[in-house]
Amino acid sequence: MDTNIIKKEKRIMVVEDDRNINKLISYNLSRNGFTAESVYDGFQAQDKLSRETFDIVVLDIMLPGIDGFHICKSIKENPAAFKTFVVMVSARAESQDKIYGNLVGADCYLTKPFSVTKLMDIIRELSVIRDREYQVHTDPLMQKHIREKGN
Amino acid sequence: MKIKLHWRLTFIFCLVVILALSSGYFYLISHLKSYIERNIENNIRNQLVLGKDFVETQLKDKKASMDFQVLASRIGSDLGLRATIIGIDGKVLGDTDLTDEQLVKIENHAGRPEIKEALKSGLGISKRFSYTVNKDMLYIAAAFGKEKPEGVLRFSVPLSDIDILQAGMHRVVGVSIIGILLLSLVLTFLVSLFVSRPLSEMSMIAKFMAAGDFSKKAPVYYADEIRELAQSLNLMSEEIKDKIEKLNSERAKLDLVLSSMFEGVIVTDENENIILMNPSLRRIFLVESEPEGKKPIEVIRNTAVQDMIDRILKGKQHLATEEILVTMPEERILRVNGVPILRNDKFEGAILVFHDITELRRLEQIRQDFVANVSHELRTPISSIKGYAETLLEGALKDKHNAKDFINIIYQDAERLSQLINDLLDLSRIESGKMKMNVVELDPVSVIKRAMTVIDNQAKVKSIALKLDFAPELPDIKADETRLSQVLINLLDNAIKYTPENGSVTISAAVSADALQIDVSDTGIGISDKDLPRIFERFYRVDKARSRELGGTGLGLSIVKHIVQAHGGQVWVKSEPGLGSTFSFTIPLSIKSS
Repeated sequence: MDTNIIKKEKRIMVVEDDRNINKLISYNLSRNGFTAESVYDGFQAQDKLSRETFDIVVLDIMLPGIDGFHICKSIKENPAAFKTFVVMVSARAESQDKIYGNLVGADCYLTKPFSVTKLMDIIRELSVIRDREYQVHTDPLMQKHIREKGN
Repeated sequence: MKIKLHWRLTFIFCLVVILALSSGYFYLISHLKSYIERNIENNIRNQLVLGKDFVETQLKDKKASMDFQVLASRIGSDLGLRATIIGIDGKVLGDTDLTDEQLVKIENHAGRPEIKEALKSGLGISKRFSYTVNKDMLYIAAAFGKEKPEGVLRFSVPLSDIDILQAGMHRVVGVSIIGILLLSLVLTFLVSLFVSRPLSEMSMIAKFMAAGDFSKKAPVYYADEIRELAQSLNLMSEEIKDKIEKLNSERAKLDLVLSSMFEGVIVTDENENIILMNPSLRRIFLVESEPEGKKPIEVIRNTAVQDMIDRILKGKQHLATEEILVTMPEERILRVNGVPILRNDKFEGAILVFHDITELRRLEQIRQDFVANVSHELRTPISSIKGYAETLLEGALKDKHNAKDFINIIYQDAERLSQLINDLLDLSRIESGKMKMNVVELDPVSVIKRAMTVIDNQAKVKSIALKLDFAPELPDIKADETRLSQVLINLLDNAIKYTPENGSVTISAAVSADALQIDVSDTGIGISDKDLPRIFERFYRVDKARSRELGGTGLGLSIVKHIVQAHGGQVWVKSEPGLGSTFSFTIPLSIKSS
């Protein structure tokens, strides 16, 4: 990992109604150095997302209240939150669900039962991308470079 | 103008009678005249012969001085006619109608044709106008004399006498003809009425037939053509009645089929005008007006249907199938099959049949949802088991504080999974009818008590009082003991799970009609009205998280429902949120006890 890159603390939300699985993901995230907030239903998730910004959302689809597709769509349509990465983790394994997930803007789609190791790899990768983006926006040298050469 | 047959017949008959009578009349009259003339002529001639003889006798007696004037007067007055005696030289010697003075003045008669003829051949006849008496006269003259003619005796009769006679005859004949005519008029009227009455009756019956009334029969009078006609008419009436009845019954059958069909049917002609639309379709599309003769688009306002008819009638599609969505009055999915009506390779119209596949689609959806649910329900505990095992293997084993907790979770979820699999298997066995039911006569009290012992410990943990509320003796029921226990345990388990500590759960039982009704009431959290109708659905949970926590699979009540139904009973629930719920079910009594 590039040591020059400034690391920003990442905020991750875990939206999963099954408490055991929510706990499983949160535990692994904190073991990997992320702070995770657990949310157990769609309303709660929507409510939180309307007030706060998260870097990554781990999102189940079949949720009480509002389903994961709707939440993902509203995240991606919200100009304040569209940079939030959405990782869908669902028991819905039909290809049409994956396609639909893609359509509503999910960045990644994992089907249950999922590999915890793989989920962590994905989250690490996404956080690196987020760090690089942050770098571009904060480094004066990079800003100058962009101004001179264009995007 | 319509003229009744019998009037026409009367008229024709009268014409014939008049023609016949008048030709007879004219024939008679013309012959009568000549007959009368001949008769008079003969008469006069005979009288003339007698007159001649008389004159000759007189001549013989008084040879020298013969007063012809007296003689003529005598003969004339005796015979009632005009007698004239003319000398051989043509001089008029005596005349009935003339005085002596007149006689002197009268011209010589030698030139008269009848005199000439009489002198020549003995007898002369002439008809001409007499200037003496100013009349048409018939003259008959005969010469008299022994060896040679000495004079001529002439009788004359005015022809007007004949005319008078003739007029008399005319009157007699005329009156009788008019009499006959009147008589025949009456007769022909009667005859024509007699002929035309059965015909007019038949025409009336034919009119009734045309109007659909086949009850009238044509009267059969006499053995003639009219009778044959009447019989044919009656036969025809029978046949038409039969045919119409057959046709009507066919139509009624078709109508019955179309109107009792659940499917909607629409038939159009080749110009896309509606010929027929059955009640089902009218209901589906809320058609209140008469659709016949209109275009489908006007009546059912669905472009897809109109397009289908277009395609079919243009021959682009022989069998068109389409699924259409109707939103009014309620959402329905219809599968429309359309075929053309072909006669001799010509398009005569189109038939469209509408199948309501809403229920089919709904069931398909339920099935799909069930599969998705099962998949979800299985994947969730497996994810948990797999994830925690993975986490432990990845190093969490060293995290002593959490490791035991994780293993506990793995155990719980494995338990949940196995419970889920058991429930699913049960459910599929009951639903597919493969579950073997060992239905025997049972004492319900012992079954209820046994179920309570199973659940007793669970109740004690939460300090929930288990109460029994029924008569010590209950009639036997017909049930599978294991399955009935399962129903009771499921209901009691739910009641305890959703009842707070220190609450109570009551089992009551009572005989209603031919079944035993068992109620399981609790003082728990209750179920909201929104959730009540769906509570028996598979995987329907009022509170998913709580259900999981309590180890529910979401199938318990579904299993209860299926088992009760398999016994021939019913299950229902009443609930008051915050106060508690009562689940009730019935199980048929055994024949002995009922």
